[in-house]
Formats: sequence, structure tokens, C-alpha cells
Amino acid sequence: MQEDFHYYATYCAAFLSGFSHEESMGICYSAQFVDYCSRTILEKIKAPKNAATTQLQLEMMDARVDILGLQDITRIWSSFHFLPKDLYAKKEKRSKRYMSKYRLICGPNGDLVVKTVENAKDKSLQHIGIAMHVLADTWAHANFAGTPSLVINNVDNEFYEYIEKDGKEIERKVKFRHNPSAADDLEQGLYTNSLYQGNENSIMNLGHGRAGHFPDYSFAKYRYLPAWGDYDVIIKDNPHDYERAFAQMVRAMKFLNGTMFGFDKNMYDESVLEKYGDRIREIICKRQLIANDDWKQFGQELSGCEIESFDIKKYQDEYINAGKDEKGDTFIGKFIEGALSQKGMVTNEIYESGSKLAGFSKVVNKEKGLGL
Amino acid sequence: MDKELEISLRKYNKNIELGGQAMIIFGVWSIIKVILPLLVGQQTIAELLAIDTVEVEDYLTLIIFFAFMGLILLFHFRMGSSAIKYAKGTKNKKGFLVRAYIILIMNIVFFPFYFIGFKEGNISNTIIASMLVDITVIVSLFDLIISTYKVGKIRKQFG
Repeated sequence: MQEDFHYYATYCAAFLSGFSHEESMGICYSAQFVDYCSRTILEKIKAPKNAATTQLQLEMMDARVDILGLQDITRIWSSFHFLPKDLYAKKEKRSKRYMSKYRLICGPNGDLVVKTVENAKDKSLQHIGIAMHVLADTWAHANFAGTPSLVINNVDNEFYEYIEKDGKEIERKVKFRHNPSAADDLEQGLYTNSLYQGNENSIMNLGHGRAGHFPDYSFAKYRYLPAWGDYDVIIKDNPHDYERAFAQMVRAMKFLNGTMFGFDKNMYDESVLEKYGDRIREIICKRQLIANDDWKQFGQELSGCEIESFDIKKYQDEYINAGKDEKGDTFIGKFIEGALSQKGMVTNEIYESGSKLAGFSKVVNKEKGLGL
Repeated sequence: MDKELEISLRKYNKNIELGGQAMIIFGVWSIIKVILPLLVGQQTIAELLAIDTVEVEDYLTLIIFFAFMGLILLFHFRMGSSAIKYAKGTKNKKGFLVRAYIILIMNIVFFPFYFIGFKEGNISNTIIASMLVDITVIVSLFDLIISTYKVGKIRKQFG
């Protein structure tokens, strides 16, 4: 997902769930910061680099793709952007190596998303924001995995989008090109995707790169053949999924702020859709590269307050200038704590499932230490 | 159409398309296999054709030689491109199957000659590489032929 949903839509969801304007700003900032908190920024502010929640393109170009490098990449992307749906999924006649990747496929309403939300209970606003980013991405990034894998994440040229023409829904073949500097041309159906690389573990095969930005466009409805699908077609209906994501975020945040009890799979706040569904659908279905303005306007109408634009530097000075013992109380300090908690939880779950793709993991009790 | 049949149809069409691409590449490989030793001086045209040097200086011999190479390339290319068009649904005729059978039979018939060469102690990396390529081509052609029949059956079933 993009800034329109992670920042502005998350603000709207937070406010609708009962958080104040200031709390909602804290949550939505954290949700968006997940897409910016790279090792480069952490190094700049002298923060722990293992709290990175993303990797910049330049970082990925230099990333190793040996076993240790792959584990590092998988830890970050599976924990924050491609949360696995079912770590114990079964598929016949597949090797252990294949299954370890297959089980990392992202999707909504898995056990891990419930754990992600529960992990944020009684924690900081920053931790809630991280959880909302992860939850929202389970809808957008479904059917792709947060590990470089050709056999999972590749798509072929059988890629069609559904567009409206003369009041009817028609199929149009998508034309992919490899020009990262050019914006996608929605009118002509020209989109950028990552280059085909035959190497199984190439960085080009990470996540939804091969499908371009389609998963991040709320208006997009498309069908394609995923490499893992055994020639079965997937029809991805982003308008439907984004609406579900919004309703689920509201429900999750109502649990987190104590308004409602318990959170589980397939729980949504339908009341918010009854009241604002038409407006939300109008924003989601509008064919545009990014819906920041529309979501911002909606959010400001809800709260009556100004939603300031996302500023990556907003809290950096606070963290840099804080004393060693005070860093944990700063905004970024709390974000780092939440990120480490989320990453640790997901990495441990992947390890416990028998996969070494995210590396080794050991649960450490703060009082008992390593237990050696 | 039944979902399972749709999946099967996609799978077999993909196999045919890949088989067609393989045949085009194999056609290019067949030419490279002949021309490369000539280019690096390992062999002369005369030695290749097992004729006297004088005859080689006859331009007609050379023209026939290169025309024959071109025909081989064209044969494979036509076969491969027809298979690809059939797989994509832009062509309904299965004439490429005839060419596929010809290539398959020729590969199977001449394959045992590798073992005759081995018996004479003629084992080298290039011969083993050629052998592996020929095995790949045979497997690919079998896959293409079987997939074509399966696709034909499904298409016939659903008009």
C-alpha cells in the first residue's frame, strides 16, 4: 500500500475507532514510517539498525543474496510488509525447500495478523501504527511472499486489468515496462514492473515487484497467473480488499483502545461502512495514482482538524538530541521498540514452523536471560 | 468450461509454447554447432563436408552448404513459431506436428551413434554436451506432441 492508505486512511480509521486527533496522528505517522525506517535512516540518527522495517532500493542493490542475506531480507519484508498467512500450509508433491517459501505467502486473516494486533495491545501508539501497517498490507500484498523467490513471486505476461468502458467492465492486457523513473500511465495501461530474472533468489523476485504497483492501487482489479498457482488464475479485487482492510483496521483499533473486547480473524467494523461506506468506496475506486488528497479531506472532515503532511524528519531531532537513557521515551524510540517486538514475533513464528528462511530465533525471557 | 480443464488447457498451451521456443533455440544451436568449429579454425569446410579442397573453391558448393544451413534454421524456426502461435490461439493448424515428428525421429535414429563413438574411445566434453542437448530436445518434443494432442482434445470438447 501507499501513503494514501498507510497515512491518511489509517488516520481516518484510527479516529473512527475512537482515538483522538493527536493519537491518530501518532498512529498514522508510525504506520507510514514503516515504509521509511531503513538502515540508512537509522544509521543517520544513530539508532539500532536491526530495527529497520524496510530496505531502500539502493540498500537492496547492495544486499547479499547468500543464505544470511536472504534471511535478513526475509525477516524485514515478511515481518512488516508481507505477513505470512499460513505458516503450516500444505501442498502435495513439493520439496521442503519449496514449501518453506510457499508458506511465507502473504494473505489476510491469518493467525499471524491476530498475533500482530494482540502484540500491540497495551503498547504505544507507535506499536499500534506498525500493527496497522502490517494488517493493511496483508490485504494489498496478498498472494506474494516477503522473500526473493522466482517460483513464488513471478508472474508472466498473462496479466489483465479490468477497466470500465462505456459503463461496462472490460478486460485490458497490461503492458509492463522496466522504467522506474516513469510514472505508470493509467490511460494507456502502461505500468512499470521489475525485470525478469531467472535466478531464483534475485532481488527482482522479492514481493510484488513482478506485478508492479498493482497491489498498491486501491482502484485496481486485475487477473494474473502467479507462479505458485499451478496455472490457476487469481482475480485480485483491490476495491473490495481495501474496504475490508479499512473495516478490519477500525475493528482492530477498537480492540486496542479498549472500546471492544477481543480481536480475531474475519472481524470487521461494519458500522463504519454503513455510515461512511459510500464515501470510502468513492475514494478507493477513483482511478488515480495516489489518493492522498481524497483521504486527507475525508480525515479532516471527520476530525475537524488539520492533518499535516508526512514529514520523515519530524521526530529525528528529538531522538538524536535525547540522552542515552531517554531515547526509549522518544517517538522514534517507541517506534523502534514496537518494530523490534513485531520483527521478533514474526521471526520466531517462522522459525517455530520449521523454516530457516528468516534465520534462527530464540525467545529470551528478560528475567531469565538466555537460559544458558 | 470446467475450472480443472481451464487449468489443464493453460498448462498444455504453456508446454507447447515452451516447446516451440526450445525448437527455435535448438535450430540456432544446430547452426552454431557447425559454424563455430569453422570460425575458430578447428575444422575447414572441406573437412566438414569430407571433400577435396578444390571442390570447396567452387562457389556453388559453398552456396549450397550455407543454403542448407539456412534451410535447417528455417525449418526449426517455422516449426517453433507455428507451435507458439497454436499455443496462443492465433493459429489452429497443427502442421508443425509433422516437423516435430521429423526432428524427433531423426534425433532418436541418430542418437545411438554417440555410443558408437564412445566405444571407439571418442569421448570429449563437447560430445557429451551435444548428447545432453539432444536428450533435452527429445524430451521437449515428446512434451510438445503430447501437449498438442491434449489441447486438441480439450478444444474439440468445448468447440
